This record gives sequence, structure tokens and C-alpha cells, in this order.
Amino acid sequence: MITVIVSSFWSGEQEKIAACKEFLPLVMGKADAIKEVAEDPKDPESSTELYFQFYDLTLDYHDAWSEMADFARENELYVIVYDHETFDRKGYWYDEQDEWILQNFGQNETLEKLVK
Amino acid sequence: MNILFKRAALDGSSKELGIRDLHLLVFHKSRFDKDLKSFVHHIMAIGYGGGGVQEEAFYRIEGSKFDGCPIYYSSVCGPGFLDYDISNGKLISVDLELPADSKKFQFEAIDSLKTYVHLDEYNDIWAPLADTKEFYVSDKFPMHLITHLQQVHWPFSTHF
Repeated sequence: MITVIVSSFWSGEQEKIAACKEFLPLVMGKADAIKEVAEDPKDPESSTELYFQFYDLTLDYHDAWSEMADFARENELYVIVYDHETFDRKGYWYDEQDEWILQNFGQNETLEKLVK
Repeated sequence: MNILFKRAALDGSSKELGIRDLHLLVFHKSRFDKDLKSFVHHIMAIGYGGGGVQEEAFYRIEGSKFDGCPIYYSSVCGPGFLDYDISNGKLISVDLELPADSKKFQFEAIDSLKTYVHLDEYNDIWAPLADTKEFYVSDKFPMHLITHLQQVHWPFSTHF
């Protein structure tokens, strides 16, 4: 299973959120679950993160890296793809390096709790 | 519109550079194509090509994965047609009418030229405006795209 985390959408960026929800399934297939999470639940104007969960995919079982990087750069968003089995993650930070960075910080409890 | 601009050093000597003054000016824009399920990239570039020649280029790249996707090229900024398919590193003549989104990009890019260059009619070249910086690249400019085009077909002497 993988989770694709797209961040951050500022308050009022509903159109960008809708565009992201339309874009990602087109390049990766239909997500099993999409979760919209406020970064600070107590703040009504909090920025938002989107979590796309794909139960049957692994980190490299898709070929959408280039498209996701283009989308991230165009929309000034960060994208992290986290593998729930290996705990590997690949991140694209549009304002840093123009490439996907592979990292492993172990199990991500926050992402595990968001499953189901 | 993403922009990359490079001109000769502003140390006073550039007055004599003429055609060599503008190293490279590149405009880039992309849009997601729902049918293609990928991005279409457009590039318009003007710059010094070496040998005392200023070159122009217009590219249309149909896909985010540059290896294997169609890459069209014309040797002028304002083409009515996409002249060549350069996907395989060879200039294969195609003469395809410019698609509507390419025309739209072309219009916007040509309109943006005046921010960075002016037409030196005496020498028939594009020359940098006096108040432009030596080097500027916008935050979202996709340098990897330029790196790829340099491997395929890049008529300019400035490389990255």
C-alpha cells in the first residue's frame, strides 16, 4: 500500500484541491480513499493536505513520477509517496531539487492511523 | 510563464558584443492534457548559436516523460507549423499545423519578449534591454527539460 501526500493547499484554494483530486486518478488510477486533512484542526483557516491511499500499489508499481513532478511544480505543491510496507518514501519538493528524493525515516504513525 | 534569461556580463564591455549580448532567453509553459494523461510543454527560445548567428527555436513536447514522447521543433519563434519531429534526435520533417494551445502559448511568449529584449532592426537581432539582469531564472523553470533538449536538438551555444 502507498499513500500519496500532497501539500499544502492554503485556505480558500478549493479549486486547486479539486484539480488535484481530478489529476491524480488520471495518472495513477482510482484511489481507494482520499482524505482531506487540516494541518491545524483548531484553525479555521488552516492549510490542508490531501492523502490519496492506494491499497494495492507499491512505491514503484506506477509510472507517474514525471507527471506528478510537473503537477507539483506548476501548482507549487510538495508531493510525498510513502510505502506502508517498506517505509520508503519519495518526495518532490519543487522549490529545492528538480528530482524525486528517496528517504526512509521508518514507520510513519500518522499515515498508518489514517488507513481505514 | 516560466522564464530563463542570460545575457553578457554587465561590466561595460557588452556594448561591443552585439549579437553575442543575448546568450539565451527561454519561455516555458505547460498544461495537463486529460486525454494524453500527461503534460504538454511548450518552449520558445532565442539566443546566440555560435558563428555570429542568433538562433530561434520553438518546441512542443507531448508528455512529461521526455524519453519516447513526441517532441516537435521549429527553427523560428513564430511558426505557423511544427516543422520537425526530433523525438529520436533526428530532424524528421512533419509540417503539422500549429495546434490551438501552441498558438496560444506562442502569442503569450511573443508578447512577453518586450520585457527582456527589443528588436535591433539595424542588425536584425534581438538585443537585451538595458535594465535587464545578467541572469534570471523563475522558480518553477524546469531545468531538466532544457537538459533533455540539449541532448536532442539545441541550436544554442549556452548549455546548462
